[in-house]
Amino acid sequence: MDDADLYSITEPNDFSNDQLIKLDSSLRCSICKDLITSPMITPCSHSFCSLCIRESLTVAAGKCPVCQTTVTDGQLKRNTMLSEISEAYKQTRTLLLRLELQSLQPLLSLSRKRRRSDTSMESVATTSKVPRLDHRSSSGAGSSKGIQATPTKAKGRTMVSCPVCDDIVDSEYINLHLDKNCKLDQEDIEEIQRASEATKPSNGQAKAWANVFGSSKKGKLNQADEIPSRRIPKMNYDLKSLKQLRDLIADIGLSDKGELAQLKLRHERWVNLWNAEVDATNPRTKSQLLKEMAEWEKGRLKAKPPPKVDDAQEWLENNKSQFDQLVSSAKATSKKHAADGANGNGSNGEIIEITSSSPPTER
Amino acid sequence: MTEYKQLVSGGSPDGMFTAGPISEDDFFTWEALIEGPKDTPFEGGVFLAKLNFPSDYPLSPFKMKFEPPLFHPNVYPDGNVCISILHTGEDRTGYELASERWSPVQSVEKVILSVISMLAEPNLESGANIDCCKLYRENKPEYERRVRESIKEQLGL
Repeated sequence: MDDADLYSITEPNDFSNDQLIKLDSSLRCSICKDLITSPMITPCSHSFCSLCIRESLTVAAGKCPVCQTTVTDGQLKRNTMLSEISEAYKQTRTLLLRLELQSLQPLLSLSRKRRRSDTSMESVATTSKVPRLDHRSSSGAGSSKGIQATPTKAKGRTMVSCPVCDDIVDSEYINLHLDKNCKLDQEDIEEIQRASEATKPSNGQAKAWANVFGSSKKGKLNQADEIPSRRIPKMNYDLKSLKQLRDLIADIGLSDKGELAQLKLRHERWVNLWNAEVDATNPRTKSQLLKEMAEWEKGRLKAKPPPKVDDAQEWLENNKSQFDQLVSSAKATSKKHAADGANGNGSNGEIIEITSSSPPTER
Repeated sequence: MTEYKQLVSGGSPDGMFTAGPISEDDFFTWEALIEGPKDTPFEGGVFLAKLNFPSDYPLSPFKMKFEPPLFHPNVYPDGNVCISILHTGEDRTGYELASERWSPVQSVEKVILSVISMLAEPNLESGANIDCCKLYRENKPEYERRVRESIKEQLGL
């Protein structure tokens, strides 16, 4: 993960006002700790991101992560109002941050003045009240570019100096620059411009039309730009043969490689991802979901798998000393317990037998 | 999963511990420094623990290991921590309440706070270090002396 991703992570403590921190944290999913997306409400009145709760129910045997009540994913209901609130909040968040920063501005300039006049202790105290501002470029700006109060023109754009870090920024992006705590570089801006140009011709409408026509054709469900509209029911994987499952997965357009357990995991993940997308207000297309699946697989590969035992004999030889030690210690305790057990209750004996025989075979 | 960085970068709670990834390249191994709680034999000690996150975190809990190992009834002799909040699945032994076990809504912060309270009040019912449990039950002053000694040793006094 690179720096840009790291900066895009938001958190309640971006704000310094207690009330705003509270507002921000109450609109977060308690599983992923991110701002909630396509919220679903459980019968026990807890709300989570659709994907988060679906994944959690798959792994944690149908229990609500907060109160442990039994929940099935069929009982999940869309929380439309929360969804509207969170979407509206996401759009307002940058504005809120900016307003908060502006209200702190007098304080900030005060601290800067003090720092210049070198009353070190006090200035430290004042700056600590201000939200985290990482002056990544402030040191460079001071030495090389100098402070420019008047807007300058470069490449036909209006450049202004940032009131916080003195960096020279395109006036169009100064707000975004401030929102990102002065971490937005000229490079980032150019990237944003490129991205916005790429999406300018609104192909959204064309896609929507294509979708209308596409869905009228029968049997053309496997189109790449299909938008999830109907949930996939969960299935009992034990009733499926390896081949059936493989065909099913290949039909979706996923890789059908791997063992049964892997195929099962992949299909479970796909069902969760798909169903979560059905709950979303603006669902992504199937090809985007397939791309996300590929990312997920990559992430799984990166995580270290547990040591695999290819050759049991070799494994046994390599770890012989460890096994011997375990066996001898188990034998010693079993003897001791057997002596105890002879005078006391008999139930101890059973447990001892299990422990003394299991270490060599279990590994 | 990396959203967890936010938890640490901004809002570390009141100075009882710090935690964070060891390196920026690997967000799946963290290190935590924990201060020994006051009015316990662990007071004054600083303990280093390694946190290992699974790839499907937060669906599965992370693992916590004290390095070097800690002398405590609920810490295995190799340093692994045995605490109900980090356990999942069916409870075979039946004495851990479901609400005390791992769930995806837990966080690093909550777990470490539970560990700190575990340092103060060991849970003898599910001991991990049997010898230490025995010592705690039968001869508490001796247990406290040994804990203090191990802390001094660690700090190099």
